[in-house]
Amino acid sequence: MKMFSIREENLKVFLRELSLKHVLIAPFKRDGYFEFDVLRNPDDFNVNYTNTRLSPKRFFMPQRQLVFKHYPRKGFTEELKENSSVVLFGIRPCDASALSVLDNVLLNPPHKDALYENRRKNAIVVSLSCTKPMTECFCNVFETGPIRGTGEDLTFTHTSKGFVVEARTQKGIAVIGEFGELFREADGEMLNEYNKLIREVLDEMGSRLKVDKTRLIGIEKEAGEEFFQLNAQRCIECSLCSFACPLCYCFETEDYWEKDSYVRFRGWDTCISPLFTKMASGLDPRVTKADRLCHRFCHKLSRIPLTFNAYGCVGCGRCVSLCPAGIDIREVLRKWG
Amino acid sequence: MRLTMPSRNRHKGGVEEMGLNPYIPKPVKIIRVKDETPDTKTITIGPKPFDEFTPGQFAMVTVYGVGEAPFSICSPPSDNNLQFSIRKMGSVTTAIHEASPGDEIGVRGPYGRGWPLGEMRNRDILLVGGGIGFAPLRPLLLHLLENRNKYGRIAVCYGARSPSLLMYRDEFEEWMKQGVDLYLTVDVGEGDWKGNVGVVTTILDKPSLNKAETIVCTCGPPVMIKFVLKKLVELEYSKENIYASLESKMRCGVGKCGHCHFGSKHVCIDGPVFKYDEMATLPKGMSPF
Repeated sequence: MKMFSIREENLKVFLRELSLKHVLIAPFKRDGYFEFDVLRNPDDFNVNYTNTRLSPKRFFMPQRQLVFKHYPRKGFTEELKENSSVVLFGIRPCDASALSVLDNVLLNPPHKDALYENRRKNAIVVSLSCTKPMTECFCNVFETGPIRGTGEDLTFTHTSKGFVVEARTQKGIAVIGEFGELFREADGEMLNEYNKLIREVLDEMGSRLKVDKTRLIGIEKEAGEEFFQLNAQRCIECSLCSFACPLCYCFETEDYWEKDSYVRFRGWDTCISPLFTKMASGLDPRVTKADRLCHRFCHKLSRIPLTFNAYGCVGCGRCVSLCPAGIDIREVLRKWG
Repeated sequence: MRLTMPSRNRHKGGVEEMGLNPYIPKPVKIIRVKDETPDTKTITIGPKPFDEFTPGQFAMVTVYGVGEAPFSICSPPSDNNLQFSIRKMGSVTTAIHEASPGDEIGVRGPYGRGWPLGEMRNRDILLVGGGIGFAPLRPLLLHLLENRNKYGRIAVCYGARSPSLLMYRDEFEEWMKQGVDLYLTVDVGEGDWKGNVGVVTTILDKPSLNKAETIVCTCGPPVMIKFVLKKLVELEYSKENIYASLESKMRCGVGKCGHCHFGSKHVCIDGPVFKYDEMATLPKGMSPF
């Protein structure tokens, strides 16, 4: 794809222009943490962040979302379609790659998740390369970063002379075309710096954790129970790992009566919960916490790959840094990868 | 905070529109409610919200305002209506037990992989059921009887905890009249029960079939499936021809919600009917071995 560039001072102009035409979502600091939210003032945006505390998956799969309203007296079902155009700016390549994994899972035919598809198709995803990854990051393992991911429309990389911009999809090319006066073709000097940056960051990350991801497929057979039992002793089932994860997609539904209609909402669910597989009869195929932890790790590293041809982890490091019990998916990678 | 303004998209659940969003159930009326056993009712709903299905497939049934759960379709595909046999267990099933004819429920489906009808042509067929596990076998049996000349001998081994928990009792005579070898057993006899007493594996040796070529379909509680599979292999039925219908918690029925993802299989897409060797690949807890 063609490489463009934008001058540092023009980024704010670009963001302001974007926010006039779309709902602009970008990370900014609030209550001490960087989080994604609607960016009303482009001056709030600052490129000096590692990553947001929570993942941006909630813009595509909200924590709580209406599925339908059913009006019994009128006898019809109403579904709500959201169709405003959203630009997600400053998403890290790992989180952008998580979106392409979610595409594999949720848009896998014959049945497409219409709620997700609707939001995904109305969104333009612009990533900002990681030049200083967090200590917990391991995106090099799954090749989902740190400079380029797989689910973005545009990739911005910060260099000393401004941003190198790579258009990754037709949608991305259209955005460049729309704001043509702000972009120009990247020159050789800039590209040299860009390529040098890729090598440096990859070398640095490779020195921390080197794993052959293909060996992870089928780890449940090799891993045995001991490892998961040890971790289960520490796990307090808080489910933070699932909720912070950019691609934990499992959901639960709830139904109730509201004013004049029956409604169904869906919300995030977590396989760490003891109720996740428990049936009304009391039967539960996954009874122990160790089984559930085993499923969480194996699902991401072996079961999703076997079913959907993509890894269920992008190495964003959120579950590692947030887990109050210090459970670390990198231990699994180090042991069996 | 609301990020986007919703636009209103109203529809009455037409087939074409339903295809767009798999999560919208189609409202259907309950026509009949029949007491099957002390804890199970068979509801008939209609008209059928979808045209074709394979025996063994399931549908997601919504009680509006209460919740949604997966149920095996227990009426044959030729029927104009749809039937589900439902045991009172949790909130959704309790609400269905309290429903009466004329009430509206939501249905979406059919989902999953049904029994392997193509494999059964001109072969002997053995159905092994336990308790409410006969529900997914009934549409198969009725379908086989409707097309009797296309299949070989048909034998049924059916067990329940007690005689009153045997489902579809009023149909047994009709099945036998149409040439089904029916073997019944109960764990505990009661009243005037004169038949076999013992678990279903004790009657598996009774049907005389061409074992190497017989297709076996089984459904029941996990522990029953475990011992039935063991016994079938002992009796020299071919592993190649053994199928079982497994159950799991489900929320979406279309492989998205993650609840029934075990090993590399989704029960809702790859099952609920699994072949013997596929079941061996499922992780412990889900695998009947």
